Amino acid sequence: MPDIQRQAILSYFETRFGIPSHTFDPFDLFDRGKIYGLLSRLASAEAIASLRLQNAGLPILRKMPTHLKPTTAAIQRFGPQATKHIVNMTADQMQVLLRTGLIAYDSVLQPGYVILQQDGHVLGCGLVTPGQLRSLIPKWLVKHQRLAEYNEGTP
Amino acid sequence: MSNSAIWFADYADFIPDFDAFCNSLYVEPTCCLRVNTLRTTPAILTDILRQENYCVQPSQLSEDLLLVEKLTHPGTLRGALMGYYHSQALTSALASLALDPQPGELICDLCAAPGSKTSHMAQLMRDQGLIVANDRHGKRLSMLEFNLKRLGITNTVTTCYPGQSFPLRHKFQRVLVDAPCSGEGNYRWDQKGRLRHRLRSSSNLPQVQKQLLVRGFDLLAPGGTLIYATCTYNPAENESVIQSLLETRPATLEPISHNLPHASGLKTWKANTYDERMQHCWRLYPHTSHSVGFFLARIRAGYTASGDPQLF
Repeated sequence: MPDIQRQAILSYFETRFGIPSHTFDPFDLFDRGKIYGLLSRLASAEAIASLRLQNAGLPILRKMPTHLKPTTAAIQRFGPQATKHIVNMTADQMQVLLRTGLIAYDSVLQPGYVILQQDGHVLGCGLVTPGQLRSLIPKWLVKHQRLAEYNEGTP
Repeated sequence: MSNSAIWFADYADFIPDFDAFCNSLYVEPTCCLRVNTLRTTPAILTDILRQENYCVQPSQLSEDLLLVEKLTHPGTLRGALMGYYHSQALTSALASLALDPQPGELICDLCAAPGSKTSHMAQLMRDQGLIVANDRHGKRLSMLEFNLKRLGITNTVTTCYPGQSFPLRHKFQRVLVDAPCSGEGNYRWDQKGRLRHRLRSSSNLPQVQKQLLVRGFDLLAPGGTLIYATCTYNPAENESVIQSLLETRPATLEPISHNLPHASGLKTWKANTYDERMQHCWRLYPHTSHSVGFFLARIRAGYTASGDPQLF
């Protein structure tokens, strides 16, 4: 992928989350249909070219009709280096969000994708809209989690 | 005589302290969590687990492998959602450690699904270089890809060839052949004497294993290293398979240097006599390793040890 295109795509992470662009220096960025992904820069290109691949590397951005959407894998891997659009939550708040998928949330953050954190640990991606916070952590990741029953009035 | 003693009576002659072995099969091994060092550290994960009132200790094998008492469902904790760890048997983790993959190398994992060893190797390589993770079963490959994503690994591509006919176009510095096997190492009995976790067995497993091992060996660059691993005790799936390779290829069996109680590979079994070098193979038993049963052989391409493997 040409450098200019690579920079344009990866600048998303710096613009939205403040993740420095040099974070991605050890990786090659590839375009695979509906996603952009990362592959270790030290990967043997000849070996890759000679094999019939099923999948490669780590998907980091999904191409939506009007915008790019970060994957959970990307947020979990690179989120700890983010400096903005981070939502810090308590264990109780996170519990409710994971259980219900959506909570009321008043925020000064610019609407859009955010990084969900609990006690300084990145859990995944969320979406802030006026008055609401939605969890975008995939259900298959959440389904085995030990979640207490949701009670009205739980913070 | 217990059910486990009846089931494994054929192996009573070579399993050390056979009674203790049989008794150990009624006890679940302590949960072992492999810290995802691409995401966190053993100290941070230990802290998180202790906050949840778990008793955590590093294993004698590696500080990245944590033994957690009374943890029966590791997937339910928040650390699992965050990709901070992967639940893996201690003896299974030994396979990747014994292969010793280095950052930047080209590695082939011939029977890779569901990806415990693949993702461990990626960690050991600090996510640099390339692992070709192959499995002939598409559904199992999906589990592998799920685990790679969950753990945030970038240095792996997946392929879906039958292992025995994996293309020979490229040579690899290291190859892992974690062969499909009868899975006896995972057998456990419940308190009522009922067998659990029994895998389906196939009569042609040794033949398949021999083909996989030969193909794995032929994929090695000169001087490259291969680990052959199974989770079974059956010598027909272990020493006999290695013997077959030694008779047809210029292979060297190498010692494994890690800290875990084990027994050496067998030199005889029933009517079979095996190569003297079989002593370098490791047999791991649940009553001594406190994990699941395993067999490991470390093999080098070429008759004598040389320097670093050279790629064509």
